Order: sequence, then C-alpha cells, then structure tokens
Amino acid sequence: MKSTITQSRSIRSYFSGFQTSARFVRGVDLAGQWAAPILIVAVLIMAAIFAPAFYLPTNLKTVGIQIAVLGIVAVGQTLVLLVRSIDLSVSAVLALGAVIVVQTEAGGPLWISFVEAFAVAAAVGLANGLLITKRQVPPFVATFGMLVFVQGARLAYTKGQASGTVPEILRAISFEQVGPIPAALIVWLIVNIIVLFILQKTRYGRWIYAVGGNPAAARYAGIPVDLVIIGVHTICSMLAMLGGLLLSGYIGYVDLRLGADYNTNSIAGAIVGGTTFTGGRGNLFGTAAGAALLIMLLNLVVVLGLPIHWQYAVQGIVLVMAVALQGFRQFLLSR
Amino acid sequence: MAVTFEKTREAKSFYSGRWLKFLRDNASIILIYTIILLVIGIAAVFNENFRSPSNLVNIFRQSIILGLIAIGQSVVALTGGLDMSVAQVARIVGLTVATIFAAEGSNPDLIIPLIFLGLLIGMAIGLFNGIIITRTHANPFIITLGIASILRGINLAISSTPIRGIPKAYLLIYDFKIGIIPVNVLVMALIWVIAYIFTTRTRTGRAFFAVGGSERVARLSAISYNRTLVVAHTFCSVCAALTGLFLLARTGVGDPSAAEGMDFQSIVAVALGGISLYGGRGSMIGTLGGVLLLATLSNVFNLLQVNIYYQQLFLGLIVLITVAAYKSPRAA
Amino acid sequence: MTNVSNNVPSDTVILSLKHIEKSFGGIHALSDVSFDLRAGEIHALVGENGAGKSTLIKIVTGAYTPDAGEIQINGSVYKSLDPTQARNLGIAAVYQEFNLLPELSVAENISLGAQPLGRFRLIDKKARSALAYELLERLGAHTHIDPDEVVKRLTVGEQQLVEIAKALAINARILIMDEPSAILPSRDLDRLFTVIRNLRDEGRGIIYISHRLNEIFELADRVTVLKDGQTMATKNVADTNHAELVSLMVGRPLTDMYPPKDNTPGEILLEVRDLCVEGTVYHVNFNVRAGEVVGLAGLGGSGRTTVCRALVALADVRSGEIIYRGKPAPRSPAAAAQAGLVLVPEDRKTYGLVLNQSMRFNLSLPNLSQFSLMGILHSAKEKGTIYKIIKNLQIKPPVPDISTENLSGGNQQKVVVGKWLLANPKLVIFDEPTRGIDVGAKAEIYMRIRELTRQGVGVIMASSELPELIGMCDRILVFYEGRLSGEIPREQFSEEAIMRLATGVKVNEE
Repeated sequence: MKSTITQSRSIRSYFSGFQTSARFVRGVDLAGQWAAPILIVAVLIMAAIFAPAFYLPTNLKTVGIQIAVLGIVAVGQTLVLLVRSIDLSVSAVLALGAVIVVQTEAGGPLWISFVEAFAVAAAVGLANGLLITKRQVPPFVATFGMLVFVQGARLAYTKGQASGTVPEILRAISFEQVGPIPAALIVWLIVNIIVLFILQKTRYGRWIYAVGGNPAAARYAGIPVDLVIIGVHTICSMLAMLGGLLLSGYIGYVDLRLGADYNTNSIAGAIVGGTTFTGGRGNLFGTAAGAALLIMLLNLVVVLGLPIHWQYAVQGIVLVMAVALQGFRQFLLSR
Repeated sequence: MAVTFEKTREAKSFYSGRWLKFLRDNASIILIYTIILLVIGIAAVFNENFRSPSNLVNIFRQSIILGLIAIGQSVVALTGGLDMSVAQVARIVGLTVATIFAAEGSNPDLIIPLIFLGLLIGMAIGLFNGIIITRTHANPFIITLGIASILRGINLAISSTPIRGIPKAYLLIYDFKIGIIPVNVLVMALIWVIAYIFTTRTRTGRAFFAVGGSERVARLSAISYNRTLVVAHTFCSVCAALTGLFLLARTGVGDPSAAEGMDFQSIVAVALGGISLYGGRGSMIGTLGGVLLLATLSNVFNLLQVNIYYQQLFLGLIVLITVAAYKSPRAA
Repeated sequence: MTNVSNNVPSDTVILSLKHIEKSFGGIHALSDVSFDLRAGEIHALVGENGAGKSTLIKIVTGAYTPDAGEIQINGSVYKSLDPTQARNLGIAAVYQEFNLLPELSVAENISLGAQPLGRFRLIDKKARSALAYELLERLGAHTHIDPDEVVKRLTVGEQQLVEIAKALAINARILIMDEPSAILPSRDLDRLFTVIRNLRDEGRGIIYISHRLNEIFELADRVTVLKDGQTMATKNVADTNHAELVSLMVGRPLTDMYPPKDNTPGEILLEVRDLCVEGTVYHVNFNVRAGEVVGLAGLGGSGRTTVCRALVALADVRSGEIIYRGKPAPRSPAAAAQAGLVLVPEDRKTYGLVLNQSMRFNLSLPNLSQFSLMGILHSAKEKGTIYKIIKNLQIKPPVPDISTENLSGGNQQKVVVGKWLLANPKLVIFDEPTRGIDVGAKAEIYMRIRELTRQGVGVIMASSELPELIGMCDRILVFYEGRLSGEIPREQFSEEAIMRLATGVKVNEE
C-alpha cells in the first residue's frame, strides 16, 4: 500500500511537468484562503463608485436576506465538503420544504408542518449518507439521483401548481426586522454560531475534520467514519430546509422554480471561501464570505441595470474560477 | 489491491461454455434490452395505438435527441467524468444558428456554413472544458456545472423568446422520409454504429477506457491523460452541438428552453446502460439500451396520458434504483 | 534444494549502476549502491525491508531521480532516466501490484498504448489477439489464458504472466521482478520459475527480488546483497550459502541504545487462539503478559501487520479467539481503545496522522472523550493534558498548534505514539515504531517502551528492524507466509535465527 502511494505520487509530479517554488505554492494557498474577503472589499469599493444604489437601505436589506439564505445552505454544503462529499440535492430539499409548509398551512397546526418538513429533510440527508457510505455510490451520483427523485416527488405532490401564501411565522423570521437588521440575518448568525461551536468545541466537530483530512487515520483512531458522514449529510439537508423556509418567507409565495440555483451557488460559496473538494480544509468564516461575495455580485447585476440573466453567467464564472483555484491549490499542496 | 481481481477457479468453471461467457460479460446489457422488450411487449398487448408502425418509428425518432447527447456523455463517463453542460451547449448552438438565420432572412444558402458554425461552437466549448479540467486538476462535474451556468446566462442574453425564420429546407433534417421511415432515424443508426466502432476499435476510443480505468496505468502505457480527456470533452460537446442543430429542425424555431433536462437524462441513460460512473467500463450498446428504454417509457406514458409530473417522479425513482444498485469497483 | 543453475551468463553487461545515492528528507535510502546485470543472467537482489531495494528499482525504471551516481545501459551513460525513456531502453518491471486494467481483455492490456492497426486505421483485434497468443505461447501460458478474457477474471498467477507478456511485448531486455513469488500460491511457483529461466535463456537480464533465500539458490545465477542503502557484496550463487547471505544481510554491530530490561512479566493480558484472517493469517496462537515486550518479526506480507490490526478490530477475524484480560476482546477500534488496547500503526502519514491538522488535534483525536462532557470539549483540560504529553515526550517544537506536516519524521512519530499513550493503555501494539526516524528519536521511543513495561503495560512490537527486536523484546514470534513459524526466547536471540525462520529456511511447508 505504502509503496504504491509514494510511487504514484512521484509519477504524478513527474508528469505534471513543471517545477514550482515554495513561494508560489504559498501564494496559491493564501489566495485560496483569502480570495473571498479580499474580493468583498474590492466589490464594496467598486459598488460605492459605480453603483451607489447598492447602498440604499432597501437594497441592503434584500442583499442581507439573500446572503442569509445562501449562507445557511452553504454552511451545510461546507460541512459535506469537509468530509470529502458533496450534496447536489440541496436545491430540491430547499424547494420541497417551502412547498410542504405552504400546502399544509390550510389544515392542521403549523408546528406539525414544520416537524414534517424537517423530518423529510432529515430523511433525504440520511438516504444520501447511506447511499454514500453503505453502498459506496460516488457522492455526486448519489445526491444527484436524490435531486432528480425529490424534484419528481415535489412535482407529483403539488401537481406542478405553484400555490399558497406563506405563514406569518416565516415572514417573521425572514423578512421582519430586528432594529435595522433583517431577521433572516440573525437566523444565519445563529446557525453559524451553532455550527461553529460544533466544529470548534465538540468531539463531533473534530471527527468531521479528521474524517475529511485522513479517513484511514480517522478509522485507526476509532472514529465511526460512516456515522460522521451520514450525520453531516443529515445536517446539510436540514439546513437546506431551513434555507427554503427563510426564502419562502422572504419571497412571500412559493413558485416552482424556487431555489433552482442553490446547488451551484452553495458549492460556489463554500469553494470560494477556501473549502476544497478533497476534504479537511475549510471553515465557516470563508464560507460566509464566499456566500456574501456571490450574492453581492449577483445583486450588482440588478443594481447596475444589467439584464437579470447575467446572474447566471456571474455564478458560473465564480464557480469555475473558484473550483479551478481550489483544485490547483489542493494539487500543489498535496505534492 | 491485486486481491480484488482475484477470482477462484470454482467461480470460473461455473461459466464454462462460450455462450455462458457471453451472458456473463454482457449481463447488464442483456438485462436492459430484456426490460425494453418487456415494456414494448406489455404496451403492445394493452394499447392499440402503441403497436401502430408509425408509433414505433416515432419512438426511434424521439430517441434521437437523447441519443446524440448520450453518445457524448458516454465518452466522458468512460474517462471517469461527467459533463453537466450538454443541454446548454445544445441550446446555445440552436439559438446562435437561429439568430443568424433570422438576421439573414432565412437564406437557405447559409444552411451548410451554419451547421459548421454550430459544430465549431460545440468544439470550442468542449476544448475549453477539457483544458480547464486538465490544467487545474479540478473536478470535471463541477467545472462543467459552472460552464453550464455561464452558458445559460449567454443563452438568455441571446434570446428569451423563440426565434423564427428558419428556412424550410432546414426543416427537412427532421421531416425527410423514405416511405414511413424518416431518414434521420437511419442517419442516427449510422451514428450509433460509428460511435460503437470509435469506442471499440480506435486507439483514441480505447484510451478513454484506459484513462478511466487507471490514470497511472494509462500514463505508464504512454497514453496521454490530458490529451485523452480534452478529446473526450470536445467529442461530448460536439455531440451536444449536433443535438442542438437537430432540435432546431424539429421545433422549427430557436427555442430558449431547448434540451431542458437533457443533462440529467443523458446521465440517467448512461448509468442505466451500465457504464460505470467511476470510468473505464461500459459500452455504447448499453447506452443505446438506456436511451431506448427512456424513449419507450416516455412514449408509453404519453399514450396513457400520465401526468408529466408523475413521469418526473418515475424518472426519479429509476435514477434512485440505478444509483442504489451501484457497486463501487473499489469496494472490497 | 540447492540445485545450482548450470547456466553460463555471457559477459555482456547490459545495465550497470555506479555509486548511486538517493535520500528523502535528509534520510539516506541509498548511500552508495553499485550493481551490474549481464545479458542472460538472473541476478537476485536481497536485503532486509528498508535496505533500499525498491528505491533502487524505481531509479532504474525512471520513477525516481538519483542524487548522485550514474546509470549505464548498453554502453550509454545516463544521470537519470524518465519512465518513457526507461521503457524505450527495454526496461520493464513487474511489481507486486499489477499495472493492468482489470476491465479490459488480456490482449488489449498487453498491447495497450500501441495497439496494432488494420484497415481504415482501426484496431486489428485479430492481430492483437494473435500477438497476445504468441507472447503467451512463449511463456507456455497459451493453454490456460484466453487472450480475449477480461483480466479481472484471471487468477493472480495468470495476471502476473500477463504482466510478463506485456514486458515481452515491448521486447524488454531488462526485466525486473519485484517479489513475484510473494503473491503466488505455491502451486504456481514452478511455472513462474520455468518462465523466468526461459526468458534468461533468450538472453535477457533479469533482476529478481525475493525474501525467500531458497528461491534464490534454486533460480538465480548471481546475488547482490543490500544493507542500509549500500551494496554489501555481489556473489555467484554457486559460491555462497544461506548462512553467508543471512550474515551479509543483517550483520551489523549492536549499539547500546536499548535501555536494559528491569522488570519481570506479570499475569497474562492477552491470549490469541487459533486466529485466522481471510487470505493472510492462518492459525496463530500466542499470549502476552503484563510488563512484557513481545516482538513480532516477519518480512513484508508475512501477516505480521494483519495480526496487529486484527487485535484492535481493524481487520476482520475469520475464526479464532482473542481473549483480552479474561474476556473476548472488544470488536471495534474505539471500544478497544476504551479498554486500553491500542495500536500505534505503521506508516504514520497514511494511518497515524491527519497531516493538515495541528499537533493538538492529532494528539487528542482518539482521546476526545477524556476531555469532553456530553460531546462538548473542555478546552482547558485538553490543553493541559496535551501540554504535559508534549513536554513528557519532548516533542519539538513544543507548540501544540503547529501543523503536523511541518514536524520532522521523528517528532511526527512521537505524536502518533503520544496520542495512544494518552489513552492510558494496558496493552500497546507498536507496528514499525521507528521506521524512518533518526537515532535520537529512536532511543527516546525505546525509553518510552521500557517505561510502559515498568508500569505493567504489555507491549507487542512488530518490526522489520531485527536489532531493535533483539534489543527490546523478551521473546520474539516469527511469521512466515501468514503462519507463526517459530518463537525465539531471549537467550537464543540472534539475527540469523530470526532471518532463518522469517525466510522459511526451516519451515514445514504445510
């Protein structure tokens, strides 16, 4: 085992064909970690010069709520990426949650709808985790299959009709303000604090970094690797559900295309913030910055009066550049 | 690692005859074609409209779009990647060609040059995908997901409403028939044969298998990893471009929602057909089976007037079952 | 056994290595190796684990660049080779881990990268199969290997022959075989030997690496012994014997880095009865007492490491019993650690450390329950304990938050040892505890082991470094091909005695 690893690595470095200095590697590493915060500052300055409308209170509120929603989904995505997995079903879960709550609003107590919503999300996450650990399905295939399935289930359930108004409570935790701050931002902050606490101050958090950093060493250290991965997927789906509830509270109605971009954007947010696909590297601060950067760029498209579809181009460019940068960074670091 | 390959003598003697060996080596392909025959058989018994010759021809014609995309997707899957940008590539080609037709007053002389232009666009996008993936060592799936998003923005910038003004002659690509058999079905059959030969009988085609099977072994055998991956992605995007050109002839307008969902469906077809999404294993015959199964099912559902949303749910179920039946080659 | 070959090699030297040096991270893997290979000879390369055999092979096949020395092939001189160049010069290697694509056919694997083309520049399948058939025929394997069979359906022995056929396909003049017999069932051995002899008789040069001295006397014409990265001697097989080779492989002066033994063993801690692990370990029995150091010796693939893993539930036990402190041993690594039964694994970078994380992270990883209440960590308590162990083991630099990838090998190893000492173990299994670390760090780890036994902890020490086993152990169990081939009490310790058992010199074949 050992000899093959060293052998393949030496062959790899031979074929990659160029010599790199330590300073170059360090530079790429730092760029990977600090790209998002630096770019945020740059964007804020550019906005002040070219698009002062960005700073209008109503716009800032919109941006704030959108950052909160994407930020929450991206926290889940970060956790999943930390254990070398990925979740492409977040957009479906997000949309599903909004639908469930809105549809069951008609009859029965509200809290049951909420319990149902989070139970469904947990079930989806659990299924993702089981497919990945127990059946060794590659994560993107498993969660992609789940995406198609959950989307189908949602359409079959709603018969494709976008319907319903959103319960007051969702407006309250999303659109209403606490002082000058939209409630959604506070929810986002709370989620970040809780997950940060889990990652930094609990045994489970250590396990997540260990499983992502070196699964074999984690197993030798007696860590239940499969359980960690399943747990992280369950958390990720439930955070996507929370994001969906906040989003529908903000928009005020539920429509079919709700949340479609959250796969791309949550991955982009996490990756821009310094999380890598190879696991064990990444943190919530970076993810928060990545989500904020992405939303600000998307918002600038609107503020600058550009056609709305350029948002797609922006999120695509951010994703490609971030993935390319992190892929290259990881490649250099692991040589 | 070597132990994983090991098979005991007992297991070998179980498959002694030549035809048993054939069954064993092609189990997944035989399974999918059996399912197709079952579906066709059941539908033909219970539904009159289904068994009409024109409907059966129709199934083949409907399968062309998914088929073209799936050929390209298969090649990328064989190398161990997936291309999430195929639907957007098909769309951008359709929209660009339609826009130029509309601007030039439906000039039929432009048909040939514009077909070449469409293919060139596909080739350029595929090259770009391949080069980014090999240069940055990034995940092909995510890179192409990002590229898809960029292309979606560009597509909406080109037009968000259908573009009219396609010359009549161009529509013959879809409509021209000999008897009841559309010529495009015959052409498609030929394309499948070529795709099969390409992946089984050319050095480039076999390189996909080598690279997908083991990057290290491929490199030790002097097969260029980077070149093979770039070729695979370029090939895939060119297939998607062909799909875009064909869709344009079918709908007769440049459709800004053309090929919707085709990236999903092509992956489903590829996985159903038994190509390992880890790369290195599978065949075009399997993918053809996956495509035909999906086309047959969709035809049956439409005849039975099953709600489109239940169709979606059913597709989701198929995907989930395929995925759950998945067995990693790396698992003990 | 000593049916010495009557082959007369030619005098044409086809490969010659002169004063090759190679080091990794300041540690010399090869310090001065010279070696030459003639056309038409089987040249065996022997040496203990870590003597530098694989490094040497990788230099010849172009995977590594030597730091100094030169390589002469067919009269041309090279400073270093790259893999393509080596291939074009007719150098091929058959490793224990095959470079085959399991999903493709035998014929395709053999001509991969240079498949024969026929009409329309399409691959000529017939020609491809014919070529494979012809090559297999030269190996005498055409009767039982179908060129069109998928490689994954072949046995290991058959796959090995396909690898050799691949080497013939590029017309390799220099064929390197890295422990080809280690992965073969004994019934396939004769066939392999015939194949190798035939290749030699065609005038090829063959470098044959093996731990089994019997094979060398049966097969090879000359033998070169490596030790600690240096060439000890090159001999004609006819002019040497087992005893001489063994003493060349191991002969080195004992140093006084081993602290003296100062306690007597107590009650039985661990009892292993008839332990079997699928495909690797067969019917192993032994026990370990409190305060005792039991050595496990054996060459790579002898089942030594698997036994270590099985004791802490990291390998699936097929049959047999493991009794730990009077009860069946826990069946998960976490439960085993809880009960004080821990494994300090080999290869710290693969199994021991999460490299991109801090020293503190790694030290506390298996011990988090000590510092946590209901899963929440008590940082002050953690820091205190970590600081103590860092000081105690003298890990340098004593900075808990330094990333472990920035530590030296010796300090990394101390972190791995430290994280298991924190678990308050009753029985510690060390697998290769001093591989690749400097002398000072070695001595400290030996001290630590003595200290443990003084506290009544039982120690199992699996190692391929014989001097350290001899210096540290109360008794040594030797493994050969998955079985316990013998137990040596302290008063009979000698490297020769261990090597004899480990190379299967005096072993009942069944």
